[in-house]
Amino acid sequence: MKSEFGELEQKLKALNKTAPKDFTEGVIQQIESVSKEMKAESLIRVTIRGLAVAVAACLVMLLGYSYVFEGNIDLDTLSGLSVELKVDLLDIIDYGTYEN
Amino acid sequence: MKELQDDEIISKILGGDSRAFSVIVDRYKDTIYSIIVNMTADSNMAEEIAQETFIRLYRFLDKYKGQSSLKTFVTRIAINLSLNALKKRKIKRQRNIGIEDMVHDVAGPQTNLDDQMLIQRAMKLLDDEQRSIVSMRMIEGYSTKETAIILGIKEGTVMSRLSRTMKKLKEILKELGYEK
Repeated sequence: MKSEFGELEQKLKALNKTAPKDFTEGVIQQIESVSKEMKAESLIRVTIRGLAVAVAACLVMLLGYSYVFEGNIDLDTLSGLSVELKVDLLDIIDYGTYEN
Repeated sequence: MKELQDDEIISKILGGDSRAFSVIVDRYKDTIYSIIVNMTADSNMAEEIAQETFIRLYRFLDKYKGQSSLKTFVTRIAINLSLNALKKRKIKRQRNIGIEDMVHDVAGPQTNLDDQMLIQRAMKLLDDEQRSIVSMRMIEGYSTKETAIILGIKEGTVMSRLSRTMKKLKEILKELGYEK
């Protein structure tokens, strides 16, 4: 390759460029605002997870209460909840348990 | 700080010291900018993409697990962003009209272009992928292995594509009047 394209290769190397002045400062300024956004996103994620865990915990307590004080109740007979919703709730419970 | 290895600086950044990121930017900005400007042939566009490259790097730094060097990781981001930007501007479509027509358009009345200008103009007539290989291997001196990792292809493919691209570049240069 070098023997065939030697001179062209040297000319190509000369196309090497350097970044504009103040490039780093520009990036760092943007990084600072990105960093704030990332912290806010992280806070939102933690809050949502916390809420999911809290909802799951409430459901577990509700089910436990129903089981202990209102007889042998299971998810299939839980009034007012469709099958799909029950599945979703079970996922939330699993998710909350995993997150904990 | 400047004498620290990439992974040590990354640990600092992930530990909350976002200012340490300036060392990473200083270390790779010229290489990244040069690759992008040679791919896009547009300094404003190159600066924007180079900035976006480092912002993406910062955002996804926790995803970097050290399988390849940081230079390879950041270059891959830069190449992907450049290719996407070029697609958006439909430059690729314009370039594929036909080399001969383009050569006449490009050369036009400017017959006294110096070698550097001629090579830059010839580079514009390569397709995006060919330009990325030339930028990395020939201009920035990346190894065949590094180039293969960045482009997600085999080393043998890099070598054969580079050889074909260099031949094509030589042909274009001949058309443009570069007789060396």
